[in-house]
Amino acid sequence: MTHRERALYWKIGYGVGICICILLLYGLGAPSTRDASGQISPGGALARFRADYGLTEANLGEIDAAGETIKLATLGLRGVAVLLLWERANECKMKKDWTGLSATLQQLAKLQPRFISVWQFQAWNVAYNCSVEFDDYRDRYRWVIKGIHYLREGINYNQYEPRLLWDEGWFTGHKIGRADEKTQFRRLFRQDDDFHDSLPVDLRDPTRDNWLCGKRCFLAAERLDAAGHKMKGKSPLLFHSDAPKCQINYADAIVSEGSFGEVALEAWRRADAEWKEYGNLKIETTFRDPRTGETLFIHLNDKEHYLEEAQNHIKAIEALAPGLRQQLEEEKRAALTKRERAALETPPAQRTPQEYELAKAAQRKLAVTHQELAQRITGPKGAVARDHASKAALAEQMADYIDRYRQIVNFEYWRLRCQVEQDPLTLQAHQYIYQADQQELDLPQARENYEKGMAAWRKVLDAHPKLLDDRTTGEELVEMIERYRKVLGRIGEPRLPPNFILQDVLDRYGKKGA
Amino acid sequence: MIVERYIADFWGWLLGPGWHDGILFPWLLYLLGVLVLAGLALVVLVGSGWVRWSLPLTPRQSRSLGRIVGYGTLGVALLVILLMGIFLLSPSASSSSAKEATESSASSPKDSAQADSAEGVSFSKALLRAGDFLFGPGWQEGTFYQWLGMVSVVTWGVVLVGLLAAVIRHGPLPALKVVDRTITELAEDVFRLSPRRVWALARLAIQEAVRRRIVIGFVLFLLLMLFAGWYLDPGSVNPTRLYLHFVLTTTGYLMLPLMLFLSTFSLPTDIRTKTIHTVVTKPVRAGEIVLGRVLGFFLVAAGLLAVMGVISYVFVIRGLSHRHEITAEMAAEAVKQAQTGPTKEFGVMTTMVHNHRHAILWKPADSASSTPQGQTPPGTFWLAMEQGHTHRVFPREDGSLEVGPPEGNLIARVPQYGKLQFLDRQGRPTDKGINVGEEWEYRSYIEGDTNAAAIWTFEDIRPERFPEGVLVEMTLGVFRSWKGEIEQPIRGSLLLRDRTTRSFVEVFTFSAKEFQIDSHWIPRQIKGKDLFEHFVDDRGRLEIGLKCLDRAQFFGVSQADLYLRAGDASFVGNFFKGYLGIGLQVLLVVGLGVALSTFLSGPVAMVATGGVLVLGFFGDFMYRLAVGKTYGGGPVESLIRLVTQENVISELEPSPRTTAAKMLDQLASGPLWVMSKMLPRFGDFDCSSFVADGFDFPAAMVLANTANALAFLLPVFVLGYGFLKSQELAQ
Repeated sequence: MTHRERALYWKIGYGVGICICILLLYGLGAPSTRDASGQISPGGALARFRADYGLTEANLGEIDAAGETIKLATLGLRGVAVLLLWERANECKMKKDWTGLSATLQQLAKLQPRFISVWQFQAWNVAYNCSVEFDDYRDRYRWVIKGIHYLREGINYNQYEPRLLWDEGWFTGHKIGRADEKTQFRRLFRQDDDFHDSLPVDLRDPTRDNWLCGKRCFLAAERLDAAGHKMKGKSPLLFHSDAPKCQINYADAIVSEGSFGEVALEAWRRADAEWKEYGNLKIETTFRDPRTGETLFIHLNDKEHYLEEAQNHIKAIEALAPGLRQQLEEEKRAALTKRERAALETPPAQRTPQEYELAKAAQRKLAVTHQELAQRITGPKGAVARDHASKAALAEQMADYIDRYRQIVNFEYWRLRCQVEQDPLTLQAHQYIYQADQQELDLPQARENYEKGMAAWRKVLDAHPKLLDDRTTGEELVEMIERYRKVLGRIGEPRLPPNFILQDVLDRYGKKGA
Repeated sequence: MIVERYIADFWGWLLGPGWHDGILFPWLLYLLGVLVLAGLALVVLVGSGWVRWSLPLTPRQSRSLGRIVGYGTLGVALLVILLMGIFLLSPSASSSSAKEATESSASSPKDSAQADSAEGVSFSKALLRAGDFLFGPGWQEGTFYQWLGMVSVVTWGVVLVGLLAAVIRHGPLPALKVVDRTITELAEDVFRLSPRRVWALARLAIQEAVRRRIVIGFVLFLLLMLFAGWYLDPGSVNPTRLYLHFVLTTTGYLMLPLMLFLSTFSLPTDIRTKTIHTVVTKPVRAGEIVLGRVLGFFLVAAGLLAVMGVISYVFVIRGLSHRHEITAEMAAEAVKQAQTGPTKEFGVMTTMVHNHRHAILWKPADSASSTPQGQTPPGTFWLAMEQGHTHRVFPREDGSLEVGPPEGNLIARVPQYGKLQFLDRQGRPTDKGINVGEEWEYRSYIEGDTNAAAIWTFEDIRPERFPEGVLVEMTLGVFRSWKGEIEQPIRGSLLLRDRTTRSFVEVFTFSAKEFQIDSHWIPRQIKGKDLFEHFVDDRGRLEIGLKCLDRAQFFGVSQADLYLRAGDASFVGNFFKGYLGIGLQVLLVVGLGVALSTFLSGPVAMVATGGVLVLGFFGDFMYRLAVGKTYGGGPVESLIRLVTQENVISELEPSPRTTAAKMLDQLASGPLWVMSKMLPRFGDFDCSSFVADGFDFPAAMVLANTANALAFLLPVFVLGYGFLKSQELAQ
């Protein structure tokens, strides 16, 4: 082979190598495109990766040059740089150097745009810890908004991350609507044109209410979750409760701010509907299905249905052997010891601790289970009874599971509350109390309105006694009674009237000795 | 705290607080006067040709003079070391100030006799008294004496090390000769330094710097400035501070490594390539070579700094420049709201630029103004402060307003600081207020609606300086122990102490504004009394008190939180001072780099200078490490904690390992202490925070920093000279 021939072969070899490389590169790096008919081609492997992992910043025109330059400029020492920046952020916060803190957070974000916990932590830091350092409530509000803006920036980098959207919903709803300065914050929020203009269209709410804006963020997070970008670190039960709770909080807030007309009614109606809808949601639990052994899914609204089903099965058993349950109870009662029987017969309030324990044990012994009942039935009816018994037990277990989940979100209380608040009488009670609160200078009028309001509340509580089972309403009423007591004190009557109309509320939730 | 240094004047800092009370000072003054007069007379005589002036010294005479000066200096240094040794080793004197020493000597005779029982103590006291007599009380706090002591020790250290090296190399007797020759020639060289030759060598250094593409640093700087806009947010809380801090620190970070490379590689390269022979074969002295290089490189750096300064200035002005729009409707609405009350929380706002808006304010023409001097007159529009600036507005014919450029951000306030004392809630004097549980203990708190107060004493308050009254500016911390009225700020009052009754008179009450400078005007006439006649004492002292008025709420203050604004200095001048600070840092690096490169190879000299630079920046940390004021113990203990992942607060388990670590740390603390005292504190030269925060960097501090830099350069120069001299090529 001559020298020239060898050179030619090398050149051909190079050419082939280059072609292979180009083909490889094309396969890997071809961008996602849209043809004339609107069909989207997924592009090369890298483009598919980008789409799969939501690397949106790689889209043309959205490349974050600043962040990339900083990362490059740290020459592979990004970890060290981040460590120093965190240290500096902490020091800036300690020394109340807010300019330095803002600048450091920006640099941190540029270095770690994909670390969700960085966005979350520092946004919380700004909205919760830094904001309270300011004495002027307007400054505080600005720092809460700064925290939300920081989250928004994080969302722009991580568009498929429901955690950040959820945080935005929480800040918008709870930080603004639950702070000590909630009256001022909510007012400022409604007036904040710049903030509302900066929101994406789907998160803007025409009412400009912080709870409804927060609800939109929660719903956006739910949409992402439903689209497969799962919400991490939060149980579905709580995650899905936030949006309807925002509607409830909105309705509650506008009523407490003096809205008693159709707007308030409609808000409560909607809250009621949304809470029921939430109750119909299929929720994954940590329990196993007793029948299949697989992960159990429940609907919060199903508890009553299961209880009814259990009741039907029990009735069926009892119909198979009428009087058997009483007989069994009698037998069990007869088997109790003398001391147990005496403890059981003593009224609960007069029992000694020992008697209390004995009575509790006796009650456990007296309980007749469905299985016991079914097993006493013999013959062909026995098999039917045992089938009913196991079905009843299963239904009761399901009801119990649902009940446990209901308690986590206080489901029953809020369901009842949504219904009660739609009652015109409740709205009137609120209106009287609100008017009384406004009449600081006209004390007799204030007193009259308080008393009218409390009379209305009495009727509401009599109609819905379960409302007092939860502390929320009880404590709100106690606060109202305290304001009433102050009015009485200023009039010259330091004590509440005898046979006070809401004495039961005070006895249950008032301060001891008050 | 740096503020304390800031309050002290330059001479007090240099020579101790009572420097003009000593006997030496008037004598030195007379001597200086005589020398100045003699010099003038000589100039006149030589100028008129009546006297022909030349220094007719033969080489032999010159050498003798050099020897006298050289050994004289060493003798003085030895004396200083001896005195310092006695002073430091005696237990009472080293820790107590002169005042305390005088007080203890004035206590009961029995105590005094006991105290005097140890001979060393009484000797050191006598020494202190003699020092007080000579230099004034508190002389030992003067930086000059401390520097003199340190230089003396170092000089003798260098001489002894040099002698040892020479003994090893040449044997005992020739070694003495070598050392003698070096000392004599050094002293002689000082007299024979030729500015012309130094300048010629400096020019060579400049040419070399240009040849070595020094301009690359400049290009880097330009690139940074081009892209800096991406990282700097003009909509941040205080963009001025951000921008100024950025340009000053970037310049420093770029210039220091650049000059480090240039200065440390220059001489070694010349020696390696033998180009140095073209210089040393000429009649130049070793001192001139060192000085020429330092001067040359420093001039290059100064030129670069000047250009960078101009570019930075333009960058800052351009970055911060913006204008808002105010339409006729907005202006009309602002007037309406000023008359009827605001309908929105923040009032009527301008358009948004740089992530902020300003509230448009309007003052009715008939309202009386009791606001500070310089406030907008009634009947006009103005814009509220936002992000540390405001804009001037001018009405247009169509009813809209024209908004001017930002104002009030690029300033250099000249503050006069006072000494802070506290009164506790019973009204008794105390050093500190209450700690409300903040991690940063910079501010101390006073409780509202009690007798607690913070009192600042200002000196030198004269009618000539404050003819119209005084402008008080304060930045307070507010701490609420209960929610209170959310929409109401916490109220406070400002008081002045009556010079005759010694009681406080309330001047005005105010609403506290946190994290911003709140200005209040104290006029000449306060409730019918003249400020200077009734409140300022004969020595020009004014006491200003601050109280919080709301029960169970607190104000937090530190010494620098309340000051009198004695006018404004030029911002450009202050900006220049910021660059001067960088210039001094560069000068130190260049000096050290050239000196070390006289005997070390380029890379080693670079690492050594870089080490000094880094350690110099952490000088304060090193000092705290040496005296055991850091969390987690000394270097060895910290290493153990690092490896075993122990936290820094809890005590280490008692074990032989812990004991050994503590012992090693104890051993390391000595060298650390010496290093922290010897190395220049590079951080102290940095005055970017003053410039960025809008405070004038005081001339006393500029002088102090310059003195510091020169004080460090002198021994460095001697070091460089000595080593270059010892190299064969220079002989």
